[in-house]
Amino acid sequence: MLALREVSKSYGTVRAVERVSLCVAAGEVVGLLGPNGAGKSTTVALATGLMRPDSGSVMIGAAGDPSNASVRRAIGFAPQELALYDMLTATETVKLYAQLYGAFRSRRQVLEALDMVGLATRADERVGSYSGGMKRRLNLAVALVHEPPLLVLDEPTAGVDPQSRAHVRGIIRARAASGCAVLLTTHDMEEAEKLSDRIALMDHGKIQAEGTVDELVAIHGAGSSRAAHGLESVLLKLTGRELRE
Amino acid sequence: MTGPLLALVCKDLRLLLRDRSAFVFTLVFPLVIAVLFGMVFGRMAVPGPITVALVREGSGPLAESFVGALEADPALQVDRVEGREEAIARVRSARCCAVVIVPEEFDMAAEALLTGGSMPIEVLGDPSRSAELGLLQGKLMEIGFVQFMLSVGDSARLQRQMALLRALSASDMGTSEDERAALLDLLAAAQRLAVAREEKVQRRLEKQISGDAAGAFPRLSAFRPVRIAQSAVVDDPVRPPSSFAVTFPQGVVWGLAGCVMAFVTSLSVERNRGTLRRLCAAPLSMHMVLAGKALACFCMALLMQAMLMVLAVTAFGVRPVQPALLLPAMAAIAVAFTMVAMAVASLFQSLGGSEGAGRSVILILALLGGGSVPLVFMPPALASVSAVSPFRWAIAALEGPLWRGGSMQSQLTAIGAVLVVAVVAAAIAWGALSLRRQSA
Repeated sequence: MLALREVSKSYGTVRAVERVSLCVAAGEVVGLLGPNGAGKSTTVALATGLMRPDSGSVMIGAAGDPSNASVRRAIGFAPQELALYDMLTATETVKLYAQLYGAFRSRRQVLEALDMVGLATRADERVGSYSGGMKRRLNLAVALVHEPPLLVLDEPTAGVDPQSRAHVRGIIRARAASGCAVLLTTHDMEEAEKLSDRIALMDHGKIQAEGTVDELVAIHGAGSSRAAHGLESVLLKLTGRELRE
Repeated sequence: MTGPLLALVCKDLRLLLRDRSAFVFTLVFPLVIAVLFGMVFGRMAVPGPITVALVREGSGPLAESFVGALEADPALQVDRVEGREEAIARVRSARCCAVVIVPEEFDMAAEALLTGGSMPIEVLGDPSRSAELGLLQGKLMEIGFVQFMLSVGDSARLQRQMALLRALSASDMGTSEDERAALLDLLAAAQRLAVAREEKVQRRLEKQISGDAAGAFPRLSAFRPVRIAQSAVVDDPVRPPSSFAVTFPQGVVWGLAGCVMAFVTSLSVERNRGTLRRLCAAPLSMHMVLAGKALACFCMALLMQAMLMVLAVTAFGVRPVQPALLLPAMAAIAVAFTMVAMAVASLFQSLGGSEGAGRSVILILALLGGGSVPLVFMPPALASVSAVSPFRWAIAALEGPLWRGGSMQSQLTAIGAVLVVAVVAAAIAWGALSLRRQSA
């Protein structure tokens, strides 16, 4: 569904992404892990068409390059920052994005979308009155409202309580089970392990390692058990322990 | 593509109307300015006693009697002034609406009232205070009639005048006996005529009082005891009919400033909070996102102007002289200030920049363009500097159809000037964005 082939992107003299190739098949969840400044956000921006690569290509299914506006209809994007309008209600927010993606949604359908993320009872309240966890769930509802075949989720559970985190994870699993391709970035190793079918470890703008959790632990884990700290030790081994900016 | 565009416009309008500060600054503040300034300016011209400067050049008793009657009238506030120059200066500084000059020949002319003469009065007035000048004319005529009635009714005065004339004719003035006899006969005849006219006037007055007024005073109705020579002191024939006709365009200035600031800030906030990035991730081009913002700004500017104009007409008695031209003017203004918003947004992209420098620029331009001091009251030097402000052209385009009037060509020129503002602002926005793209 998503195919990045040899994509590179530079900001001036800084090489943010260098010859990255990554594929996400329909029904698959791929976790993109890496320390801060590894190039994850740039990769996400390239995958969603927010940036054009300096070289290489990005393809969304058979539709083509996501820098083409109509191709982006196939993408559901939940950015890391809570990019929501505090003065709008949840209903208005979901309806707005449905319209922007060319999908008409009745109030009933909008309420169903909000029910899916557990916000139906507060659908007509302004987003500004929501807690961080509720905003994070609404962020996901907005990405899902037009039922895209590809979901790009940039740290979808950052800073939320365990209940909201569990709820969001359940939704991601359900979407993948229904055939949706999911590209997920996270710093939460447990989340990556629980949700991802494959993991891509990124650092210095390059994919350092790619495979299932078992494969990564087996090849790079240095005897760790298949557990969250195992994946973490793989990450630390591959990306080093020095602090990043 | 109209669906997503409309969704963006509705979103921006909703956000604006729900943002209390933007709502107040865009819709409430302009209305308060228009009404408050209108009341303040209107109060300056509230009809009370008509203030006039009086120059008495005639020193006779009749002139004194006339002046006394003027001063005693409760509808007039008469300030005696020494010379014409000082009196005219008072009119120019709006301390009084007119100068009333009782000329030197007043007494002599007043003596000839019975033989068809009239009392000469000179009035130099401020043409913008036409209502007060009209009332003043009426008052002068009324006092003139009273003076006339006094001269007719005062037999002693009449007899005194005749005796004086007789005495004069009796003295040796180099006339022959025949001429002197003829003059005495003439005076005697004049006295009989005066008495006869007095009786006739008395009869007709009684007739009028008894209700049989039809046909009364057929000749006297055309008779004017006061001959008023009126001329203008201030040579500005086009003045607003009411203070609200000036202050509602002023309110529009503040509404436009509010619109521009609201949308410049909203664009920076969207950029800052990541919502702009999210919109760009949707199947929309950046141009479409900006077009949505621009269209919302246009709608808000038009809505605000329409609201103020409707209120001006329905609640504050403003009567547009060319109503058909009001809508094109408002539309052109909305286009121009949408472009101004885009230009300011492209120049000041950070939140701090748009809220600080952007707002300051807009406020200065609004103040300079007639937001605080109406253009009609601006000193000429400041009025010429105000040409750099787009708000000044907006006011000019609105004042034309609202009260200035003028030819179709002059109105289209004013609207054209507003559209030039739009083109210049669009060029600035385009240039600033191109420079940023190049530097990025």
